[in-house]
Amino acid sequence: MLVRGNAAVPDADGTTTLAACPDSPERGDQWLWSVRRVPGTDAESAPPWRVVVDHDREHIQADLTIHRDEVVELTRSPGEELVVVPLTGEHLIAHATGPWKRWVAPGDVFVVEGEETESLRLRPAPGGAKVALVRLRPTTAPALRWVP
Amino acid sequence: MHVLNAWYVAAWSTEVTREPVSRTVCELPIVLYRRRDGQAVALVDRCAHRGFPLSSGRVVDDSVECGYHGFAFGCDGVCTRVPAQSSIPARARVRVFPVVERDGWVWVWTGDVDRADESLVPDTHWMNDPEWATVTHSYRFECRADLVHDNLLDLTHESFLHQTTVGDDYIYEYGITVEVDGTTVTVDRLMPGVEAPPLYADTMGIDGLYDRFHATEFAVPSHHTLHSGITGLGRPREEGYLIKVLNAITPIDEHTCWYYYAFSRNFGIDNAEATENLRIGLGTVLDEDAAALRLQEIGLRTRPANEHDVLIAQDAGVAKARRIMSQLLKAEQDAAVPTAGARPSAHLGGAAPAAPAAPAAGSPASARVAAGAAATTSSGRA
Repeated sequence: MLVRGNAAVPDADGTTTLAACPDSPERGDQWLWSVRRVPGTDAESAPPWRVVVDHDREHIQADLTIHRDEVVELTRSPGEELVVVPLTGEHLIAHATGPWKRWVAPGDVFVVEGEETESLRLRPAPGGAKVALVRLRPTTAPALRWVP
Repeated sequence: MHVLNAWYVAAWSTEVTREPVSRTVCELPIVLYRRRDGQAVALVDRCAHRGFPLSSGRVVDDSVECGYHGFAFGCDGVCTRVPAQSSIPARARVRVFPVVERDGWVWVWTGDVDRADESLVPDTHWMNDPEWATVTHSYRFECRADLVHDNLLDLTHESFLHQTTVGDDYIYEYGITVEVDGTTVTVDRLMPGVEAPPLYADTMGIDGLYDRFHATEFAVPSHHTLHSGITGLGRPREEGYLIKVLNAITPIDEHTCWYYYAFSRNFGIDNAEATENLRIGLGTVLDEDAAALRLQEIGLRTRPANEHDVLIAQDAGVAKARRIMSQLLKAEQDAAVPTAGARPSAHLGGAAPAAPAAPAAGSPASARVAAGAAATTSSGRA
């Protein structure tokens, strides 16, 4: 799922929920996680904003990696979910085996889930680009399929 | 509750004439007619005098004359004649709805007049394009408009509900890619290397394997364009046999809606027999949808409030569209500031959309990882 930045609605404090499971109280299961864009307010995170991942460690392992100016080959295993958050510049996201590809920019978010292994490629635009990747894995049992 | 700042199809162009016609859009009574120069007009269907429906009157010159006491209202909503006296009360005016007529549909704007932007009317040119052949239908569905939106955003129902008509028993086996851009949600399903469905095979005399695709583009809150077709294996979609299905969904009230439908194809356009077969076949498909959604509406009206849909991954577009609809409704509620002594609008109130869930910060099981936009790490794990 690709959500463009123009569809995001920030909270009053400037925080934007980029992706969450579940995304409303009446739905979902115990695999709680959220990926948010939060205004940077301390020296460590640095302005203008940072990516914050909250997750329930009883059920979810979450890893956040940053990639800059490099082609990233991604393999998502069954049950895993990937959240791609462009930080600076543009990236071309493409399915390795299919025709689907899109340019993404800061503000956008791309979420991938599914029951079969799939491969993706991230290619930065010339001039520099940085992207955050969040990989979410169930720790105890197969995660339910994600609904935004 | 309906999103009012939007364009909704109120009628086919052929339905709007010099005889006034009544429509209800988002619970608003509207009378439609044409001026002498052919321009379509939409006014509230309620005489300012005593509330009689103007659609029960007649069109005189460019005005509509109330059939009860003869008050006449021009296309600007201003009263132009009161038969019983020479002076016209200043309050004798009716609401005017902005109108856009395009490609055979008459759209009305039901919200703030200042926000009625014609550029927001969806592209429907295929209905009038001589390079495309079109069949049309319109239905009154006995269900809330939301159920039609859900139906169009999740076409896996074709494998079951339309088993004897469309009969694509493999659609649900293929995943979807959902895109959200502003207030438009697109659900794209690629079905690579499948047999050409009968519509294409029979009309064009082809066989073999093709890449098939469905992409439902929902311009929330009222219009879906389904971009469908088949193309050669690995070939661009625009090279293929293409179908554009235009679906304008217009709420009447909380439990019924109008469904305006146009199916355009760019192949076999001179094949009149295929066109007629499509007209009949698609009518059957819509009958099946209408019957199913009527039953679903009944089911939902009796469902306990604490029961909710169990959405699955195939419903990702449905979930996103619902979220956007909720945001649009909430924005209209927030913008509506009631004045002292004013009667509350029928379109105000209701629950705000639910906030996203997140693990409780600081709870023993919760964890947090973070990375800054300006961080300099390369391939590092935060």
